[in-house]
Amino acid sequence: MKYYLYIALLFLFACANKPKDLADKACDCVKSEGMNTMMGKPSNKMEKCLKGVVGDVKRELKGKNKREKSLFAREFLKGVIDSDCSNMVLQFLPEKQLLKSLEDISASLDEDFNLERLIENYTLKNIGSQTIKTQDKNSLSELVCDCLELEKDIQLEKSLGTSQQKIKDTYGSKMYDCETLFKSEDPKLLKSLAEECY
Amino acid sequence: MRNLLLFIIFAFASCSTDNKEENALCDCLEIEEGQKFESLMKKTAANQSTQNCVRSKLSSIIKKIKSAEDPKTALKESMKNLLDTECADVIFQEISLEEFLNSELNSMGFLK
Repeated sequence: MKYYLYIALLFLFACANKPKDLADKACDCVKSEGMNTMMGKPSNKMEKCLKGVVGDVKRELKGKNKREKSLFAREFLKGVIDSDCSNMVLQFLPEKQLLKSLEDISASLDEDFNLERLIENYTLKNIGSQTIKTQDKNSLSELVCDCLELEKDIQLEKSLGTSQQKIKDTYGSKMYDCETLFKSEDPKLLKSLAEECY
Repeated sequence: MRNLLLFIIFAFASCSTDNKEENALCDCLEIEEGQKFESLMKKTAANQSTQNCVRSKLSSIIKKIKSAEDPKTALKESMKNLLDTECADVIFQEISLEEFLNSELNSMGFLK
């Protein structure tokens, strides 16, 4: 009988879906406030509850490799999509409005969809500004070199302008080992170059 | 909100191995084994035909959701399918879920 209990427990743990449970827990934090409060200022209780879930997520991710973290994140978000909260939000969203939003996206795809600009605005810019904040020489030199590389490869509209010419004039053919070159540079110069680029 | 938008857009630009409509986008990006998110983005940005392909597939997904009997459920299913793709895997290998959550909860006004 004892062994059956062990097996049952084993199945229970194996089948437990931690990311989904945490998504439901996050939803419970919000649900307890009710939809009206959700639209207004968060209460201390809800904030504490949500911060608790973020802490749980952090603990769950500890020691996991990149692939495991990715799987966890995706399962968590699927849990959010399936949660009561998602249904609540969608319930409040009139179907006409949803269709209108989809039509708008569809129209924008036909008119001025520019993935390059999108990436520049939403990805590189964000990554760049975060790296600049760290002021780490290795990261900053990598950032500047990425920027120069991008400039060379895909002719982004936003350019380094005069700074890029200045860099080429100063460093000339040494550019082949860009990161090594910039790692030995003055951090202030690196930071200003990174800021100009991003 | 910006991160969420980023996620939705690039989640739409995802790839996988089965035949779901969302996964057709994968063929546009031609993801390589062990490819990093940043290099995937650079490659995508550099290639006009990839962008056209993404636009066309994204457009058909939107049409599919719009024409569904229950568009809300179709939207949810579509997003979940996208999360199952290989490109979503690449994206989330580079994004910290903790930072993503903090940022989203902040932008939704759930955290003061």
